[in-house]
Amino acid sequence: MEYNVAKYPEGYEKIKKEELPFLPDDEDTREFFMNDLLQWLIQW
Amino acid sequence: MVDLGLKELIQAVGELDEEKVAGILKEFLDSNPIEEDVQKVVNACQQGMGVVGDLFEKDEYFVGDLIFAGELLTGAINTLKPVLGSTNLEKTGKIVIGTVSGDLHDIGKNIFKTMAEAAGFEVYDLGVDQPADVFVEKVKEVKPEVVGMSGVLTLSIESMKDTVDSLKEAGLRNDVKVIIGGNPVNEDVRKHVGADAFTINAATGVKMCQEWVK
Amino acid sequence: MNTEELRKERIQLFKDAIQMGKKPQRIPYFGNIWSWKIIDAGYKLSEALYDYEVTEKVLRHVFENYKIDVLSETGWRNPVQVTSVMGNDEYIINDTANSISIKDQCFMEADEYDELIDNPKKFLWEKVVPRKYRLLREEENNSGHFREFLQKYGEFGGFMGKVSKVMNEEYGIPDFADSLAAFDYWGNGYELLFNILRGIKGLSIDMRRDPEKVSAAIEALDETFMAPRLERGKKQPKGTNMDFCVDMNPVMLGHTILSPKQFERFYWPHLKRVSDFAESYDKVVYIFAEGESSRFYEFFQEFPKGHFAIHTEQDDIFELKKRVPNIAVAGGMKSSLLGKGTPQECVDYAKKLIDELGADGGYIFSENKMISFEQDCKAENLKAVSDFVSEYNPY
Repeated sequence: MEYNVAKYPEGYEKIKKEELPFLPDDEDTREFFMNDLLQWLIQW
Repeated sequence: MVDLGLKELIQAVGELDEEKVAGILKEFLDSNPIEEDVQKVVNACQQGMGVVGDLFEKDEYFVGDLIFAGELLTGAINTLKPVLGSTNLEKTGKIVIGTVSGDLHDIGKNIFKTMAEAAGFEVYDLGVDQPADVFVEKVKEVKPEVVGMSGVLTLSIESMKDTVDSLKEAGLRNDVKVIIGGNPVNEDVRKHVGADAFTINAATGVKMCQEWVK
Repeated sequence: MNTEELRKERIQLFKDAIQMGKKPQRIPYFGNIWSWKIIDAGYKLSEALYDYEVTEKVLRHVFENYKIDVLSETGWRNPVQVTSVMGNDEYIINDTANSISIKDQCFMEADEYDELIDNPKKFLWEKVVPRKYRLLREEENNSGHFREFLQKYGEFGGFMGKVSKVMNEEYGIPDFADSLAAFDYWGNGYELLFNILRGIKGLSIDMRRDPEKVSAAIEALDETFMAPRLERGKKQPKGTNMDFCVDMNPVMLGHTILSPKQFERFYWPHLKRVSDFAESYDKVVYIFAEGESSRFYEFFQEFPKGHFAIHTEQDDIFELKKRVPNIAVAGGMKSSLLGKGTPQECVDYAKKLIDELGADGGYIFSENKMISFEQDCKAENLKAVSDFVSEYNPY
């Protein structure tokens, strides 16, 4: 079940909720990670 | 009447007042100008760029202002294009410029190019990351008075030296003045490279070129 | 001394130099050594950048040959193994010239400010990220590529963790700041516009044509990236973190095109927030400032004493020290001398720097420029200088 990641908020939220098994199931932690990831993606 | 407009135009370009420049040019175009006046207006824009260069040398303008000035001037010339027609702008001299091998930075080079063109030079821009032989070929082809090499990385110093050496080998070195510009250049680098002049200031660099072609 | 004691001692050197309370035991050495080390260790850039094992060997080579106290770049600068899996091709490695460049980046159009300001995350995620990563742009069903990216991102993080462990435990080298943090840890909105979104040309024009929108965009980006980190920082214990040399490590690049007036409007508000936070929460900040910054000294003079170091690339560092006495200074060791001089000339200059700039303790020894290319430095010079600095006690 492939999908388009580059949609906001759908793709962003799906990544946050489903693709980060290494993170605890906690909205704040996950949102912080996504925020960092977004900056990383545009910066590097 | 026309003279008054020119003074205003020089001032507006010098102050980087884009709206005012556009307004003056529009009025000028609407008056169905004759070729002689078009030439005068172009000259006024170029003089305005001279003012910008002076203010840059005096630390009143900075790099961002020069970049904007370039944009403003390009816009002005584009606005005048319909009436420029076959008007042959008088050329002061020819310059071949490029960013040397291994370096992709072009901001400094582009600023220099805009200001040199505004000063009436015919500028042949080779682009970025250009090896020595490309400079040599272009010099053979267009026979410029000046060769300008640009670079930001320290790496570019050796590329500049290679380029000067290649000009020597091709027997062209004595036909041209060589100026280097960019972040890493200074008097030591100039000597090492074998250039005639160095500058970290595009406005000053253009003035040196003007001296050479006098 | 075991490596843990050595690591702690080195961290203390940086704290002392920047806090300017007591003089450090000796002057700390911030190794401003970038891609040069790959060539020095005998590898091609592509060999190291595409192989973490080689990168590790390169780092070990540095620590075994040069007595620096901390290293600026530990493998995070050019994460090509991660970015390439989604089709980013901005990094250009040239193994003949031994150089790596990044294409000029401009991922936003002048007429998109409203979109950015209105919803920064949506704009960046939907527009900018796909413009940067070809596979997200070209393929509708692209989640597989993103999963692969997350895998590589994880491996990269794992490698950074390993590097940290190797440095700390085997060589007593501390982590400088959080190594996984991006080049501007606090997400500086102006720098994002300058470096990534609008580019040097676009931003120069925008600041003149539509300064209000530029200000609003900077604010929106700062709220997106800086604010959450500041909030998190405020929840941490007050005082500087003794596991790192510094708490924050902003990099100033885009100030180089600004007039003092523009700086006040577009740049200073961000730095002021950093400054207020550092003062209130007793943090230690190390700024690397590219180019020449002397026209901004009256702003730097506002930094609270004992919280800031500025590493200058091209300022007259003696003048900086004199005119901005409230901060520690870093840098000064000329790459032109390291690249062309003799070991004795280099050591003589290093001594002069330490004697004059370190008199009050507020000095961190370092190369002025990022040592990147072969001709930036001779190995024998770096060895002589690092031997000297590690042993010399000016007090």
